[in-house]
Amino acid sequence: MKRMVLTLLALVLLAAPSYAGTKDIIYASESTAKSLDPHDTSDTYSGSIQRAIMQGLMGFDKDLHIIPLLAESYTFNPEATQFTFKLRKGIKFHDGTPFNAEAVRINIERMMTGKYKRSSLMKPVKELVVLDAYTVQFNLKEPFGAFVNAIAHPGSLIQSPKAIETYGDEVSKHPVGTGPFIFDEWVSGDHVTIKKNPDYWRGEVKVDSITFRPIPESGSRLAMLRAGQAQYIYPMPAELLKIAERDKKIDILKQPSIIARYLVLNTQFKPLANVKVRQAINYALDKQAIMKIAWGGAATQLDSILPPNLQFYKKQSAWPYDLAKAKALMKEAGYENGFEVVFITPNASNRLRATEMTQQQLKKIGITGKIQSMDIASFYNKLEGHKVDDTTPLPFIAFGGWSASTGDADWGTRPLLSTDAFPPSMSNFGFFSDEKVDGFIKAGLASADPKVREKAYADLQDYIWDQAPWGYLMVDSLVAAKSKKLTGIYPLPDGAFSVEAAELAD
Amino acid sequence: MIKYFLKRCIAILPVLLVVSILAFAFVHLLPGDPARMMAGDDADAATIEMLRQELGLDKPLPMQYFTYMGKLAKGDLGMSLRTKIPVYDELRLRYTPTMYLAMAGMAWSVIIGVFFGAVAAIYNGKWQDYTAMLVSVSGISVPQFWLGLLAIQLFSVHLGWLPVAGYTGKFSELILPAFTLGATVAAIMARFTLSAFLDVLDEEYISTARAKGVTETLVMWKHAFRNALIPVITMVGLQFGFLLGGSVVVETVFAWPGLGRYMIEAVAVRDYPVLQALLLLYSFHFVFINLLVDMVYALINPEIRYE
Repeated sequence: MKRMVLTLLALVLLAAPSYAGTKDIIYASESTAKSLDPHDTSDTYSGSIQRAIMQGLMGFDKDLHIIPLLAESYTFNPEATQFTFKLRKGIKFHDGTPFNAEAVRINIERMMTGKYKRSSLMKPVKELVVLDAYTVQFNLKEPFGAFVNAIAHPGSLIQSPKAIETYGDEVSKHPVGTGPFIFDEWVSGDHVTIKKNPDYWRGEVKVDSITFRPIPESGSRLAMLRAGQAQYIYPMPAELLKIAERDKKIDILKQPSIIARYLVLNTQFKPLANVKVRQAINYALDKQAIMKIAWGGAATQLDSILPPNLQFYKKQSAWPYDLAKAKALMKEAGYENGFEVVFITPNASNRLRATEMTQQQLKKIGITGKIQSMDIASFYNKLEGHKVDDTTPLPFIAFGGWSASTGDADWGTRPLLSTDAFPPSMSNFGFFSDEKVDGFIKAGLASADPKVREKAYADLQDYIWDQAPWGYLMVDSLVAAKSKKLTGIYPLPDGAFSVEAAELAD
Repeated sequence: MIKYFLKRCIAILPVLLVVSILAFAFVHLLPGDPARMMAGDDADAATIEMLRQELGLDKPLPMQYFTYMGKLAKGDLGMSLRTKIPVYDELRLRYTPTMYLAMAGMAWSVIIGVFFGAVAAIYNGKWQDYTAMLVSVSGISVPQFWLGLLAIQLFSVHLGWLPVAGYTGKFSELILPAFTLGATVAAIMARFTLSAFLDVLDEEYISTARAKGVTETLVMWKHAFRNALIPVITMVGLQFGFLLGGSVVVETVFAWPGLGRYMIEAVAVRDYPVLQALLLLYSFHFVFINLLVDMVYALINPEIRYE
């Protein structure tokens, strides 16, 4: 027995990991990679790994501002129907294929076949013209002022044309790009490993490899960081922040995201169609309490229809928590005695908790109802099943959330609040419809001139804020944690992350 | 006996056919649309419709079933809707970790559990009995995720002896998950062995053996223990069947890429082919393990014969 214990101990010690020598980083995350083909990816996590391997013509910086990457510069016409990109010269894909206009054409035309999850990004494109070996021109079907955002979107990354030719759609397992890291290995359901690109065009890459490992349980994720078996974890669970803050080897990274949280009010239901009732709801919601308790403090109050990090955001004056005003508005609207609704929410614990708090808070102004919580697939199924012409509109208040993955004001408003976006076509689940709003949204797309667009979205935000189509709640903060030795990896506002500048001290 | 075994093996097929129909009906009855889930949170209707067509979900349900069965007959389990990797390949990737963990968890827990149970029975009513049962009741009552996280805190964070989580092929990674997974099973085995043992001790042939002057040790280990094993083995088979399905909790806490987590991920996005394949696999496990258990009965008790 003694010998067995000793053998076991010896095995344990032998197998203990050693970290000397090479600079390898373990990134522990909640999610699992689903595909490495950017054109056919819809989740942020897979997209982030792809961004370390591949690059687009344009990209986003830390604050979600658009920066040129594989393109040097771009020009557009005033009608926002023609965009011309000058490409950078002398860049090679990891497999040695040169990057040029032909490579761009093959990628964009692949997206334009309509077969991929991100094909929608190229939907406005009528044709792509190769002007010379380093210039491409997009001609659009109609004005689309946010087109550069579609080009900067992680779904529009440029893959090696040779890889596309060799692997076809299997390219999802063999990604080849121009990025700082070269794809090494992907075990489905487990890890993805990328290694240093020694010839990276933007300068030296400072670490040897990064392994992305899914650690779904948040307690285990933090334990890995504390035990030195991971150098970066995301998300850092809010409920464990106190423990992490006490650990001297750990840094906490916290920054606002572009993920908005709000209550979708079914405006087809008569009481909720009344703007006074919707305003009353906004006064009755104690946003601070919801952020503190349901979100563990990892949020900031939503102070416009757009979160602050989205392009063309304009701050509005926040709705204070004011029960007296809320009650007065309910009385004015003729609903002094309140009415009954159904609260619908996904069953993730933080959302359920936020909905429970909402239920309690709205009860104080007479709006009562039961909660229906369901998994996310059933939640979509339910909301998308409603029709604008339902004879008895369901009186629902649903817990909604949105992350505009293009970083642009258009994608933060049009799919959620325009009349064209009623389900099932897009996500205007509350059937909010307002001619003025539709007008502003259209004006925002009619030009690619930032000044014109800014004006349109400023008007939109000023106008819609008081219309209160939603119960405004909050903007998620992204919380990550890392080893003090690690620098250069940080979360991006859209929930993605950047690893290009990663550095690991000895 | 071999003939009987083969006959039973063939009888598994109709069971699986019925399961396949039920599995297909069950997963399609779930509310929620895989195309919607694949398309992502901010997808537009065109993308969802494109995916629906590509995945064949726009076809009538009976047609989808026959396509599925046609492929199944050829041994093709279809493609995962989520990753577009053949389900067979993904299952193979996940099967080894689950099998490895189930065997390790089972091995230690059955030995320890049966030993504790037997000790408790032999020293029935004495302190050994109470100690063994106290430990085993605790084992059943402690939630796995709590036990797992506690073990991680102690052995990985504070002592730094073992990896927190993951599956990269190192033996050290197996210890904590196998311990956590086996704890409940060991406790169940101990309780079960105790009651089986006590039942046997009441039998007349035990009194007869004692009356004949057989030593107490021999009575316990030869006469009683052997017979007590029969129900215990049934329980082992049942538990093993469950463990082969993959433990969702243990696999999540230890980031073990096994079948349990695969199931959860597949349910979340309504990955129909994966769910169907897993349900088939689980049923196969139980039917097959039952058969093995029946065979082991015959080895232990020569009076049991199958013809």
